[in-house]
Amino acid sequence: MAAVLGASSSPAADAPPSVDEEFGLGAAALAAEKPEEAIGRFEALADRGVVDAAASFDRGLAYASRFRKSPRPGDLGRAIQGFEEARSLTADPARERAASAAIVLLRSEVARRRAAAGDAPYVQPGPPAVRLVLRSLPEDAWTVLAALSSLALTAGLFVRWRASGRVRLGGAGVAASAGGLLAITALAAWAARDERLTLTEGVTVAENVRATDEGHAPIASEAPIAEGTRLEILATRDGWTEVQLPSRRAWITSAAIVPLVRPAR
Amino acid sequence: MTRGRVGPHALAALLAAVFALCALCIFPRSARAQAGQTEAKAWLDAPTAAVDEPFALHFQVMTTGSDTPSDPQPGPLPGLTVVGTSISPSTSISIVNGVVSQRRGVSVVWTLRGSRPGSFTLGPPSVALGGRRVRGDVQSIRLVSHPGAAGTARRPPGFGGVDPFDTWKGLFGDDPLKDLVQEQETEPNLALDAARSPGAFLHATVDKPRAVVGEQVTYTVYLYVDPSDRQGEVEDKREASAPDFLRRPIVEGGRGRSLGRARVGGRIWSVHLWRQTAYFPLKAGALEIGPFAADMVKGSRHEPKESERLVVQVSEAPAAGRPARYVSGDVGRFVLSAEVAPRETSRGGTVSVTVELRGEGNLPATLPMPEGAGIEWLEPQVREKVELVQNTRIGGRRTFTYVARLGREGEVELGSVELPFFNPDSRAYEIARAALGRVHVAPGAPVADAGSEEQDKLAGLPPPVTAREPIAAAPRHLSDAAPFWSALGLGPLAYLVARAGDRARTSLRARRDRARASPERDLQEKLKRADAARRAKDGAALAGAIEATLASACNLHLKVDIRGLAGGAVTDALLEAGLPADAGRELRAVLDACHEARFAPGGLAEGDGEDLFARATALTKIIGKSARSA
Repeated sequence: MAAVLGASSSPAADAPPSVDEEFGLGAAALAAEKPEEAIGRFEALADRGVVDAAASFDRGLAYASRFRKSPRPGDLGRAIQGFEEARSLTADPARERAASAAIVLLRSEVARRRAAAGDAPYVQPGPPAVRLVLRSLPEDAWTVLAALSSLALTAGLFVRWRASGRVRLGGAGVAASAGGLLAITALAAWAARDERLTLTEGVTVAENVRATDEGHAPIASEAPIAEGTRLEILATRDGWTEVQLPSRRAWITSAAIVPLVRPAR
Repeated sequence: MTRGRVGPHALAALLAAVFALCALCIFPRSARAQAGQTEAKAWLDAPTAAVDEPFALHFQVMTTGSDTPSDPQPGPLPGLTVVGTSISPSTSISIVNGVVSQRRGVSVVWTLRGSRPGSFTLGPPSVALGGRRVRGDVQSIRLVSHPGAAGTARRPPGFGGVDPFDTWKGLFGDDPLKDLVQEQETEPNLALDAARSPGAFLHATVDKPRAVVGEQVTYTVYLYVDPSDRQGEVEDKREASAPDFLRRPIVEGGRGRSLGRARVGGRIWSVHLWRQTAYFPLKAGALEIGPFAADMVKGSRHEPKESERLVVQVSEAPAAGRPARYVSGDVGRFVLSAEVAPRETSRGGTVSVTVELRGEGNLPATLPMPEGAGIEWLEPQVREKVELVQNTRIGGRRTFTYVARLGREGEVELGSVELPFFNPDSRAYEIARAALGRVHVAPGAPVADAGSEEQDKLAGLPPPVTAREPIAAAPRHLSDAAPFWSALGLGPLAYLVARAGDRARTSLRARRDRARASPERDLQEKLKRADAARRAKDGAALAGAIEATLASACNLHLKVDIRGLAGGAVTDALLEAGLPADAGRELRAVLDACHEARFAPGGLAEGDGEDLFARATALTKIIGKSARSA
């Protein structure tokens, strides 16, 4: 038996669902194991400019679910991108841990697939050492330390000027130490502020992304970038995105990387 | 070739075709479809053609009404194959005896091919216009087995058209029907302020300067030819480059079709449609369509001609009202229909689902199939037919044939296929839907889940989040406050200011002290003391003060210490230092008077004191002047 079913075209809903309704529909689709629909819902939320850790989390989960059900190219990378975004957006430590665990799981899968395909082992490049030092303290801690250093420097200088003998020597020592500390902490506070305001990162959503030079010729010395790699985005121009690799700057096609939405700055 | 006996049907068709041709030649206006102010003309480009070589059936409909002709059909074409279709809109304004009339319509060219010799009857071609069909005349053609027997091209019966397959002669002035076109009849929408180059030039336009990603932009290249500039051919050199667009040709290369005449810089030029292409933008931004290039060949001379470089501003479809699962680029007007067979299967069995997508615009390459537990959609087979569906609009149909594997028994609801798209005409989103209905799945063998292997590896994924977590407002940071950075340097700056102030104060004091101990100041002080003694009428004090003043003056200005000298030695030393002789003598006299006065019992008389002070004051000035002159 065959049946021809109705052909139709109708206007989209008069009023699009609210953000809460769209989120609810997406979560329901995810629970009903309809990842395709869930992806559509959560991507629509992202298109509407909604910044929500839960939406990012569920979007990552939806891509992971589709990968489990009927994988499509880029699903793993987009899943990692969703969880990375959720991890940086959330204020809930439990959700941050869950996102981190999911990222580890998905990156393990990327590594397994690369190993099976004979590709180079997957390595997520860490941030530069300077940035690691910067991130060892919150930005406000650097600013408070800088303020305290400034106070200590001032006191030391006045003591060195006014006092005599050992006290004067002590003042000189305090001034010298506090001066050095002030330079370091003020620089760190400024760099942390700059990172908060300007740093843009993204996650690669394609397998084996080729790094190219400014003329978009492949860089032979750079191994292809694995799917799900988090990279700093330096610039975007004419369909190409400049990224910071561990050893150098390189250009990749913009379609191969999805930027991470940052928390309110 | 064997000649067969001509049957009654073929004879009737031949007679009809001959009649139609005669009617066209002798009574051109009798072929008009007398439906209002509508004219329909059909013609073949040649009465004879060779087997397996293309020939063209032309059909032109012009109307003065507001309806636009659509859905052109060539009519029955027994034994012939359509290998191409070209549809172009046409507009003309005529001024006859001061009466202006505007006509619009459509020109259609079907490129046909026959595979066997013989006589064939074609058509009648027709278009839909205002709820009815307007038909042209039935045409006939004879196909011969060798090209040499084919006839020469035939001109259209009216409109001043140029055969698109024999363009060049028509372009450059030897068209025998050229004079039939009234000089006043020009196309206002093709008029230009100035010619881009003498003789002939290319002019490119797009039908819209702004579009959304996936919306059709119709690109047209016109060839303008100066009728007074004769002899020449056009050789296409380079198609317009448009890497950011998907390209679908409407009017292909080598098919120049006359659009009439247009005023260019006050003169009449003939205009030909040279290229027409549907471009579908692939991304947002200012996207460029490069120039179309051709060579104008006149004898051995090649004149390169290029059309304009055009830019189309492309944006994403609006975010407002965008449905979920809308895919960027799905722009047009689409409808879906679906067919499911069979409606019964057993668990693990499959059903075939054929979904047909029809409409105009860039047909989406994939469909969002409904999801459901126990339904697995395998990769579809896709067939498509892309064509002109209305005037210059590209569309057609794309058929997706899926195989759905059903893993759960019972009445399985397949759901519905829903394709959101953006309608560029209404500037709104619409959704094309096709319900798939239910399938009865009988019990069967257990089905292995295709994704079980992946599921095991990703089994540790967290559960979904069901409550939103909107991001709070940006926290305030101390470093965002400009005063913070100032305050950071305030303490050390205060120290520096304090140190600088202290140094300035010390320096000032030292300078004051130094000024206080200077010889000039000492001289002034001594002079003041002498004056005070004069006023106090203290002769001894006055004498001593004058001695001291003069000694200081000599010491300061002449660098001679007279206190250790006596008698003539004083005068000698001062003369040697540059003091005039009379001044030296006067100094000696004053000093002697002072010496006497200091030890005289009665001191100085009152008048003597005044005189001595005046002489000493004058001497001081003379010493100063002599030192400066020296």
